[in-house]
Amino acid sequence: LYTVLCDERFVESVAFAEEISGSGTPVTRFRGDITDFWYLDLSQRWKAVAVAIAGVTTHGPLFCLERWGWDHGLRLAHRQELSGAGEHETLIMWMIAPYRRDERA
Amino acid sequence: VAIPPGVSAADWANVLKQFTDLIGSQWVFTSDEDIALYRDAYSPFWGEPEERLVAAAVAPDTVEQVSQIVKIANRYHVPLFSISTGKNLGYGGSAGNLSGTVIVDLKRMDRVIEVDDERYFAIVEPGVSYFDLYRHIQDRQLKAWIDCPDPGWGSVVGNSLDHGVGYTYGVYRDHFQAHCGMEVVMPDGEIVRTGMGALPGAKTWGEYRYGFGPTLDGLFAQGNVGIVTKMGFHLLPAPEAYQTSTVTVPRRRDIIPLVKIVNELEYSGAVGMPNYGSALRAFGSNPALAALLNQPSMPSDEELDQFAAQQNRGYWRCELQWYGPASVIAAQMEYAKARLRAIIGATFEDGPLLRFPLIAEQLERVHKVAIGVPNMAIFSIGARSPLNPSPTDGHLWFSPVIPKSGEAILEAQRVFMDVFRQMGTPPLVNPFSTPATWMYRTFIFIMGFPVYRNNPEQNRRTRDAFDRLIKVAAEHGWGEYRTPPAFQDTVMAAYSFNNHALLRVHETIKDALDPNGILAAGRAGIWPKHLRRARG
Repeated sequence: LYTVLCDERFVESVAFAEEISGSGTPVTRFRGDITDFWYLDLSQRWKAVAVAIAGVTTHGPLFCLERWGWDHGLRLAHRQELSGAGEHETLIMWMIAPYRRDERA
Repeated sequence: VAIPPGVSAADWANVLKQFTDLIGSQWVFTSDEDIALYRDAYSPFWGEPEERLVAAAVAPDTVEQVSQIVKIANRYHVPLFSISTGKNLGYGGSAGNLSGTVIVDLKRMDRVIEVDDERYFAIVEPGVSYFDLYRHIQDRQLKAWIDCPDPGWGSVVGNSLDHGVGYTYGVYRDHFQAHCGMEVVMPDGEIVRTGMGALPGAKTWGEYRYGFGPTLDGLFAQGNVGIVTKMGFHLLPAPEAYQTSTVTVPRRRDIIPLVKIVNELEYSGAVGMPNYGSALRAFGSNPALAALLNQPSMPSDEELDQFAAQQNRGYWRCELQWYGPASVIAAQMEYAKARLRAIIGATFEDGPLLRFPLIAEQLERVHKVAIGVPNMAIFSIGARSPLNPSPTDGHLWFSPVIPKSGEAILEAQRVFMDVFRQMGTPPLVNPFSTPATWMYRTFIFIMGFPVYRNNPEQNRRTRDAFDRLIKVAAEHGWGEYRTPPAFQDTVMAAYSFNNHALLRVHETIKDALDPNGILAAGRAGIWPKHLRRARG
């Protein structure tokens, strides 16, 4: 796992990031807007190699990251809505991972 | 396995083999899982039989490969639909107008060919996003700016070809107007360059758009007689500084002199893009306002002025923007204020003077697209809130072009509020709604209609409302500048002068250049001959 995204606005996201980072995965902290993560980090990384990322976020960041992932041979490998999480927003636990077309068959 | 309409299974297998031989199997997508990625995420037909679904997708890397793909498709009459980065959300995404189409996905053609920061132009391929071009400029510390839309993940070429818009000066934020020269693969596979690009060894591709003779470029924007594989664009010189000032005026009819004065300022080059708004727009749940709006007819100007006065926030506001040397900004701002003080009760709130380069803290506070910085912040806005407990799965943009006048704003509000009232659907317009100012010389009275993935009945009502608004708008002389595929026939039908002469010319051109009708069938309501007949 290349990084786990942590939307600092949500305790569920922070808790998930802390749990995953316990095994040595770096944490990328943000507050709703994934522009910096994309522009400064992931867009360049994915051009070099398709690496997996995960997180607990709202729909917006996942929507963008999933679509960008498609262009680099990645797919949404896990998606689970967290019932009751988030005061107003639906939070989603997800992982985007490399997708090998030859393994599909 | 999906097969394009009118193509035999044997021919389809042959086509896929030829595509594979040409670009490699890893760039030919036929599995359900792969082609599902090309669904329109905001389709108003999601999951219904009418949803436009693709048969396959191919991702070439060079213009020569695009040319060969078109030649193969022509031989077997396989319909193609090209996308650049496929991010055209709200206007069709990456799906075409015809189910069974093969998507020509140009994402791998992502080369920045040239950027010049002394003559201020760029030449790029379709897979170059605004982020990519911005990075190219920043990494080289070039003294040029891009004008970008919001969000910034789309293609510079694709956005321009769909008449997309941005946020700085008029000649730059009209992204098709800012283009300069094209390379295009025609329906027979021929590669054509327009403007100065047609001259071998031309030194001015990105600077002089007309070249010699009639210009063809407009045929390829919202068109279907070519696949654009390179485009030139004019860039802005990076300014020394940036500043805003927001003028607030107290009464409803103040919008008339406000727009008139701001137009004069903008068209004489004295301000950048103006942003109209109203602090009262957010007062939708105010009981006094709800009582006013629930009347059988539109509240009077006096009633609305009284409500605005009670809130003490002014009625309208307009953010003005300046770019350039600090001393020039100061003079232009003072001149603008002097003109706007003619409106009794006008007040001003100045933003900070920002000198470039900005520090991170300054960049966080500024509207990034106003200074040519692509971003995705729009996706961080929460979908669900106490005011919006049932968020939608997407939206359709209804984008009528109306005159750039205060009178037109007031008329559009009245007309569209009446339509929503007659339909009995929640209004997307209220007496504080203002249009977008992305177009240099007109307003766009844009509205976002909700779409859902699990509510086809609501989607049907949305489609009906959308169709109704297109027709009502046309009755008032307003036409859409851009629309999702589901409504392109209806919108084109509204451009009906002289018994639809414009559409008939388009069809003549389509038949001449693309006799097999393989490229983007139905785009902008222009169908190839064989499908035109079937559609009556």
